[in-house]
Amino acid sequence: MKKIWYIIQREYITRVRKKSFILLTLLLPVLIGFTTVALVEIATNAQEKLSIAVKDESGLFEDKFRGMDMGENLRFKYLTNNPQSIDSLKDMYQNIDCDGILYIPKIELEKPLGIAYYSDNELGITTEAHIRKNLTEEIRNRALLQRNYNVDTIAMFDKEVSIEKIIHNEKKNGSSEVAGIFGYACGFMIYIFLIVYGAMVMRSVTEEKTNRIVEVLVTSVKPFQLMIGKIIGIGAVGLTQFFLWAILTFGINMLLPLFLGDKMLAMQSMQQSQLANTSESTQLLMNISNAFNDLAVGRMLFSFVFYFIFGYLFYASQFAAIGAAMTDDSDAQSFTFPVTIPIIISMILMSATLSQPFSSAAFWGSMLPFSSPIIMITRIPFQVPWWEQLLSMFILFICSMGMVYVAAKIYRVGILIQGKKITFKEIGKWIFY
Amino acid sequence: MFLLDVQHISKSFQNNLALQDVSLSLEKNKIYGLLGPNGAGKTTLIRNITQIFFPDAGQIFFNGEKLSQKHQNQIGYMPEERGLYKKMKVGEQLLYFAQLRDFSKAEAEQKINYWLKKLDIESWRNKTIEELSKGMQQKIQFVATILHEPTLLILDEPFSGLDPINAELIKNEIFELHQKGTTIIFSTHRMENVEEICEDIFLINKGKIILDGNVQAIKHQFKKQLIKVDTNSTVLLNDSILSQTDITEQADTHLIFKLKENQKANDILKVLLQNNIEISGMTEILPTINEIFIQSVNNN
Repeated sequence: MKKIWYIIQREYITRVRKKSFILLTLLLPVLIGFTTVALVEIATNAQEKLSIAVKDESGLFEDKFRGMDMGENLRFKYLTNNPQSIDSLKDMYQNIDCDGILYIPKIELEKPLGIAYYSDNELGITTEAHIRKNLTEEIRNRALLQRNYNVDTIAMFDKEVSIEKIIHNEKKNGSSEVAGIFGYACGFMIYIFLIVYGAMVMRSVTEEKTNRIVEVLVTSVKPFQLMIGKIIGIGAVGLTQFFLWAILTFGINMLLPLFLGDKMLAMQSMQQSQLANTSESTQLLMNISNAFNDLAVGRMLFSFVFYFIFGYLFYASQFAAIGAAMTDDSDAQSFTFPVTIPIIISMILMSATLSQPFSSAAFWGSMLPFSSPIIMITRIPFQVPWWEQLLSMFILFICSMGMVYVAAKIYRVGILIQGKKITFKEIGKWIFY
Repeated sequence: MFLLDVQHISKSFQNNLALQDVSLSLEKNKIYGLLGPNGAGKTTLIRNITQIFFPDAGQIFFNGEKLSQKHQNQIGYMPEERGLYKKMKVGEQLLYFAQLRDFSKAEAEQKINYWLKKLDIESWRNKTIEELSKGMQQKIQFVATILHEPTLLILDEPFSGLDPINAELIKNEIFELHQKGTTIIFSTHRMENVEEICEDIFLINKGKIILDGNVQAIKHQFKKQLIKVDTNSTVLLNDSILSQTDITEQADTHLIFKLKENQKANDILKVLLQNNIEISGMTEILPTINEIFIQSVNNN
């Protein structure tokens, strides 16, 4: 045990002391901070300030455009008494201090064609959506009025339906979207961890093999100790990095208001005012907090740590075995392929799981140890029954132990074989040595 | 009792028989040479002794006990291809190797200090391996191998890559360890080293020991009955000499004779004296280990 501890220590210390590790660990959260600052700056400074002239030949929208202004950013100028035709207006809108001209011809309410916007610049997506929405609503209301429908009565019934979810006799308020985002984030983090740190284990094994340190080491420690020490040491490096990123990102986010001050508040209030008309913003906030209540943070955290550790053990031992079988870097491509394919397939399956978390593909994906660390963690926010999760954990635990055992056998032989191309058939034989 | 007793071990890899019924016994406090052409099975034999591999058949005893994990710290092994962590500092690296040999940190530090001082390389302690030259790295590797004071030291080509001064330094350290009671196995292709350092040799070829024993005894066993006689001037060979001896070489100041059956060196001397030839010296020509090596491997 003591020897494994020394190996873990060495693997850990030599890596966290590296400049590249320190730089990457510090830089990423700083980069996220900078990106946030940049986004806020862009959002506050580069907001379109548009003034649009409206030439309305239909006469349907008089006054309507006054209510459509969006604060300072979007103003409409209704050209009521301008007799000029659109053909002459469209070239001279700048003279009346406008950025563009919106032309509404005489239209049929059933077929509102010919509405056009003339300008030198494109309309922003939100502005266009805003104008379209208002025009559509107005035309619809006019059409209804024409047929003697009471618009207010219709609006009364124009309500969105919400679906109450009762899962296992328990009422759930959270939205599946929020659960999905949360599951996706966790699954993605595990995916990144498996790929990046798995490859690091492989490189480290190959390095020890090619520069022959291993030959000296195995006279004082067992190959198994060497392999498991390396896997744990590098895993700990990964955990440290994730932990530091979490803390630093959190810290930097706390500090951001100091730099951005009023801008952030302004942006928040702007976003809220844009959403205020509908109840979307409050609904979204409620969904998020409900989803977190439903998630049972304890269960999520425990599951994440479990799948993180055993998923890593399952894959890192495969990477270690591959690293031991490689004779030079040119082998890397062909050898890593069979190991990375299941991880990539899991990633694809993850998207399918998000839309249908209880499909049979999702179920089997969360049972098979090759994909369960990614798929099960994605499904847990959707309230997966406990028996399924426990079974999946049990399978992963057994298989990761089995994989460590098999990998150790391959590793033991592989690390001492030099200067000879190894085939998968030979690797298979090593398992039974 | 032998320090190491290898009894009839065999080891094969897939269809390749790397060792076939190999037996050898090493006495304490002796220097042995393990010789053999490339691919003869030297490394496999060493790996069985260092317990990197385990024999398919046969047994190995260490100090009378069956070789096991507990003997690992009594064996030191320096492989031919050196390996050190390039990014690690010399001091840290040696500490790591010592700790893996069950030394406490304090004990390890003490040993490291001793050896760095002894080899006059204390200033390297905080340098990373990649900052050192190849020869310097060799020295560190040597220290790493002997830090735990093994009773059996196995050195595979310990002088390759070393300049003559450092080779001499390491050679002296090896002799010093030998004097302190360490048994040394010396695996090499450099025959001049074998003659200079080894007391006994084992010659291995195609997985079998084909020759073993004391270096001098083996040389006598392979001698070709050649006598070299040094003379002060060129000898004029007359019929009397030519009829009684078999001369294989004549130079300005020496003659080489091959002894005939039942002929002794003294008989040659007598013939030369009878013919009034002035002799300044006489030696028996023994084959070099290199010649014996080539001859044995070719015959095998």
